[in-house]
Amino acid sequence: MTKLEQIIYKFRGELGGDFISTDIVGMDGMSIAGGSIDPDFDANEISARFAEVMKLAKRISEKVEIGSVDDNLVTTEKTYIISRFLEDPSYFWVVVATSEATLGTLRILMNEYAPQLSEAIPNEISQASKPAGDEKTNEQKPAEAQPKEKKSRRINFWADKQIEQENGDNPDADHKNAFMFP
Amino acid sequence: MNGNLKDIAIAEIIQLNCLDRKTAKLQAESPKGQVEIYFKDGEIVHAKLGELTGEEVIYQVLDWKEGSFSLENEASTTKNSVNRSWSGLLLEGARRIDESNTGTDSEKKEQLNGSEGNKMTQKFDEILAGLADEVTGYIASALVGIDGINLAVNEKMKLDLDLINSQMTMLLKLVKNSTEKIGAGALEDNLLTTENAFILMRFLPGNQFFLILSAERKSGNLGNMRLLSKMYTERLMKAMPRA
Repeated sequence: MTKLEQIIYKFRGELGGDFISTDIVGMDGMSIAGGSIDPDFDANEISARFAEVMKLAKRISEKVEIGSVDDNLVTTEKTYIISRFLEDPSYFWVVVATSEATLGTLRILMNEYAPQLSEAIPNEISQASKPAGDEKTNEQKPAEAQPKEKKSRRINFWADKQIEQENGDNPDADHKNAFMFP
Repeated sequence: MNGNLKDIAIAEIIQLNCLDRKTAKLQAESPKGQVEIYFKDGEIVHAKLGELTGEEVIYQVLDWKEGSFSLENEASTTKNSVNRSWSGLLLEGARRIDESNTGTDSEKKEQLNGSEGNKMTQKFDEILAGLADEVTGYIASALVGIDGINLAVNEKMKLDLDLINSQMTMLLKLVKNSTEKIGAGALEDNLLTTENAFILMRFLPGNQFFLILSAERKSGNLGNMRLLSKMYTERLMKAMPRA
């Protein structure tokens, strides 16, 4: 498990039963880490769609001069969806939680984990994930410089849950504790 | 790339292409005809529907709900029949669709014009003034149609609310579309946090109008904003003319 995945797992554990999905997403709409616990929520689709939302929010904030975007919180009848830029603004972090979640706690947790996630993003991915509009960077980047980390295994939270149910076993203590809300 | 207009609307295809700054040709076919729309670096440069070319083509095809489409990347044209920005085209197109949906309702027209309309606008102004008194760090608020046009505004300082609210309408529409596609349920509100401000948008029932409320980042209170936005959307809804 990469450092990024470890942090995501820890975050998921702290959020507990309200967790649905989370992803670290490049502005090209591709997730570099994360996953969904609910098969009805396609993490890839969330990543791609909310990359568009964040791109548009960024453009609007520049056009109307309201300062740089920190985050966007969407409240629906079923969920909270928070997308926030990380320290490197070519990435954002999207979290989907149930509407039962305590929003204040969720925001505090994200504030706590965001710097850790920023630090854990491998440097060599940064250039590859820059959006299409960043032409200078794209011209300098050789075509073959696709970092291996971008293709690394994504955490499939749903698969984890299925394995637990099929085996009917008790996961190891650390794994179990990760999903218990403190 | 090929697809069906039942799965994705032409407006969405346009938006996605333009946001990604693509150069491409969109061809769509429906019982109403066959259209070609050319994009260059994220803007629409040419559109053709039969003998018709230009902006009017876009307005005519935005409500196509059935048919097929194909998108050819890097396809270009030397023709230049469209000069308006893509966002302006979509907003104008949405406005025309809304108008054609409500245009036959002569009672509503009477209510929006003349003395009834003035009373309603005054009521909206009063409600927004009440909201301004209650929100900590208040900057501005407005009642906005889904076409991006302001029905009523209240601002603490001089702002270009026409520009701001038309841009925020685009964001709200994109968020609404995204949440529907991912199966997250009906959208309640969207809160954008920037370096300088909180901007909260909340639909009125029916999703044809929304309240937009902004407060200073340093002094604003999110809980206060969300609670008041719920209360005041109800009040605005009560002030709306009945169909």
